[in-house]
Amino acid sequence: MHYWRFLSALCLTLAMFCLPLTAAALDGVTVVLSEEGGAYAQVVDKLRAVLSQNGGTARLPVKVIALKEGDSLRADPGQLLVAVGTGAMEELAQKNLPQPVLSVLVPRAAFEKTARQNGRYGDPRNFSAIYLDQPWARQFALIRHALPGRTKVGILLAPNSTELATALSAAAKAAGLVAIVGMVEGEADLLPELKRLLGESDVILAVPDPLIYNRNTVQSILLTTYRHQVPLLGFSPSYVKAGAIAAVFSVPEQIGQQAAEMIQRLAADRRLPLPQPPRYFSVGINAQVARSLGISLDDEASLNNKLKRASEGEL
Amino acid sequence: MASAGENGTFSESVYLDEMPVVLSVSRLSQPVDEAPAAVTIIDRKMIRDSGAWDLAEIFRLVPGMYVAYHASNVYTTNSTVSYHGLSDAYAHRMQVLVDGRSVYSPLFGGVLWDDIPLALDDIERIEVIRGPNSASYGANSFLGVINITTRHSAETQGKFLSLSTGRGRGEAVARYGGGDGDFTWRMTAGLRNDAGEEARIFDPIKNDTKHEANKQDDKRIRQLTLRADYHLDVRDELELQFGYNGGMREEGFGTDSFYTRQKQVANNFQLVHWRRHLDAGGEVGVQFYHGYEESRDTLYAMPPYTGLSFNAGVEAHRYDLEVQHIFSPSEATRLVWGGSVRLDRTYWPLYLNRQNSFDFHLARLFGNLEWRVKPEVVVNMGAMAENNDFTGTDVTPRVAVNWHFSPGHTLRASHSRATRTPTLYEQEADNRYRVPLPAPYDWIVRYAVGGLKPERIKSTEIGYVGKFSRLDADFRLFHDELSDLISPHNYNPCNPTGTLPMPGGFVLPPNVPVGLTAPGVACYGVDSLGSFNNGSAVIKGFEMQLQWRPGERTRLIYGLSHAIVSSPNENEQPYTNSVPTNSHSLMLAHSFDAHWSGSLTGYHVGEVRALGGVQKVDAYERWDGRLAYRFRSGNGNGELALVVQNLFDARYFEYEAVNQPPGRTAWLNLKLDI
Repeated sequence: MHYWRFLSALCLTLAMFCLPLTAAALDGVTVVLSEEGGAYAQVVDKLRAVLSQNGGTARLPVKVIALKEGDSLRADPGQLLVAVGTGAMEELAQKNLPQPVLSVLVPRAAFEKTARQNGRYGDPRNFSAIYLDQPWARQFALIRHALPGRTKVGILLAPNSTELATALSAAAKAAGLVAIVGMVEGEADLLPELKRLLGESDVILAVPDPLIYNRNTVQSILLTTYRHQVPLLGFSPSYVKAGAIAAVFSVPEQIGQQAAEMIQRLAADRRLPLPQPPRYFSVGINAQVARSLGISLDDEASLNNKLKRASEGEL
Repeated sequence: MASAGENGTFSESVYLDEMPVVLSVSRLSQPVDEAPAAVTIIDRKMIRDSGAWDLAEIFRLVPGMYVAYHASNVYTTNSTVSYHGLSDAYAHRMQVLVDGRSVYSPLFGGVLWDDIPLALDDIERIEVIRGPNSASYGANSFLGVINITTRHSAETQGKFLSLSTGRGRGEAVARYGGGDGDFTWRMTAGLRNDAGEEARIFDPIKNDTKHEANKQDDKRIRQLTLRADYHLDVRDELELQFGYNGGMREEGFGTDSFYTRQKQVANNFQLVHWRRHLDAGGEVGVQFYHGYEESRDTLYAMPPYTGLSFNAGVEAHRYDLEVQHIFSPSEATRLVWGGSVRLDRTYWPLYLNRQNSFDFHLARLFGNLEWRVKPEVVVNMGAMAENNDFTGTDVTPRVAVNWHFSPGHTLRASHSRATRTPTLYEQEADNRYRVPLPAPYDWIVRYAVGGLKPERIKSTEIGYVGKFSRLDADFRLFHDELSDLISPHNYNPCNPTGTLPMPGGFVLPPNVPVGLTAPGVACYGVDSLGSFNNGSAVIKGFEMQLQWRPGERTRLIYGLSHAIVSSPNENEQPYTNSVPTNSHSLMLAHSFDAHWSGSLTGYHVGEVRALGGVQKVDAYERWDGRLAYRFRSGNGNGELALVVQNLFDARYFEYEAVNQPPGRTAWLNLKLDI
């Protein structure tokens, strides 16, 4: 323990000494992908496209490597490391290289846990992130704009996300809504708890937690909420497709865009901004579900605009 | 795959995972204010609160529906359910679907309600479309459509048990649901014994007591149903169903030429439904099912013909393949179109006088375009083309406009046409009994001349659907013109020309055989009946349904129907009295606290004289009640309920003055959901 504390103190000291010496523009960006293809590739494609457009700074070379090639990474303070996905983030956190690490496409809970476990929690300027999670205020704003009049928001939480309850309640209150939280201890009480919550709620807000929302449970959750004629707000496009009435989410390209802009704006000291929620987002609606529930929704574009205006103060 | 990381954190996969389409377009129900017809929705709570014992009883809550516990002394002592009357034993002017499978019987038409493999506890919801709807549901969706949807297997996981006991009736239903994620299934088994109506029934018209012994309407219903839902991938879904319903049914009155009897029923079906979800909410579906209806039934003649017996059994297969495509050709439109083919293969020797089976083919093309002209105006245009072996090709159109003239308030105007294809019995009947004494002869009781046209309806309606803060209202004015109605009329096949005058100017087809019997066998057909397109009627009136929630825990549902029938054929068929002029239903349900809930349901049904030469029955009132106590048991929920039907022991007749429903009847029901 003492050993680690000593080491991190040493690192910090070294960094303080070194930084001014190497204070120069970035040499380049190295992107580490958790997995190839899919969303991971979409992030990096966008990132690369923006960085090669010669925006605020000079064009930056972007090198992309797979997670398994991570061993080849060496200390190189002139580089910025971008971890795409939780797997890459964990790998880079453990490596503890001197170059700053920006993690993207990661849930906030995963980032905080990784940072804590690797002693980088107090070092946001060198180990930062763009979360996948939308800020609560944005999600409650969606409820307010898309489903006016529905004030009782039912939220299911699993034991590992109980600490969110306070933040959720406060954010709901700020939006003029009431959060009603149901605790799910295990798979067996998911549906009973959901049914209880449905009796008290005007809308269900799905808060991502794989213990509650996964491929195995999505059917019974959506069928049950639909039978109770209560709309469910999802957190991803695939939930909207599956039957959630609406969701606000950031697609990989939007995360890539934000990451690129962040990199372009890096000051010469290459200190990263604090971990932050997604800046760009989209609203998806399932018009068929809305209609079947007898709810008239604005279209996606106008909801998007309303949320954008509402969230102007957030970032 | 989504996975919980150690210590409860998780990766981005929870955001990125593809999910199967759960609430697909064909699973979503259309809101009542956008439907092109009047719709009554019966949900699970309503079924439970109604205290219904039989499926058929639930429909008493639908405005305009006439329900009778028995349909008298005909093919089966089954319930009759008919919309807008023209009430007869088989209600064959209405289509009935269970998960898209037609349970409309090919024999006499109509539905044998007790023979459907379906447990009440497995029903998710019932949509009753009040009005013709051929464009969506095909021919025989003549006066209305009953569309029953069972619960998805993902929603019936775990163990469920329901036990009922009461005087003359008892039931046990057990369900188990398993699987997870992409594959879920459930199996429901049920056993029901039902002693039916009272033993002694006083006939006020004939002023005597019939049925000294127990009325021959006992039922033993054994059921097994299986449903499995499988997500092949995020776009493809497969639904498999299997069902069986069999057991003993008592039949007959012992007052006609045959002894009462017990028949053995064994029905089953298999269904496969594949759906592919397309982008932008579209869907392609292919459904195939096979249904099999079997009854082993022997008629034993009474003296002086003791010793004579006839095989009244039936074996009927239905094979049906349907393809349906739903998509949006443009932002403002949605098109549903498809086609289906069907084969009904029936072996029914006594009623068709053939020793081999009879094949009936049917093919359909259907389409409906829904066009949102403006945000507040929806136009539905649909049509169906059907070709069948009996009546050839027919095209039936429908057009409806729904105008949301102010938020929560909708006016609907629609015009639709529909046909009803003659049933096998109407078109092909040759029901004869060879009697050896005094000299051999064929006694022909029914002989179909053939050459029937389909019955036709032109229906025009104006409807209003309104949503107030605690009140849902639905009002409908309708005007239905029915023509070419098929009904029985005297016809002597042994001497066709002696039957004159033929009904309604009917001209005999050229090649009607005369003296239809084997050599040395005489022909007796003086009281024989044939089927003819000899009726027409106009039904007009209004219907209303209200649903009021004065508080979170109270629900009041009221239905009213007023209908007047006029017909020029009063001498042949009493169409004008075959619909009750006024009927009301009222259901009040309230939950007192987390444990106690209760409901009270009342019906007033006007005087009716059903078709088929039966006596008139008077108007009646009846009240049912239910009191339930919910409790926790271990991990699950339980409910103990006392249901009392006919609380005030009203004595009345339904359908015919020989059918007196049981007086006050009570039973206890225990449900456990673990």
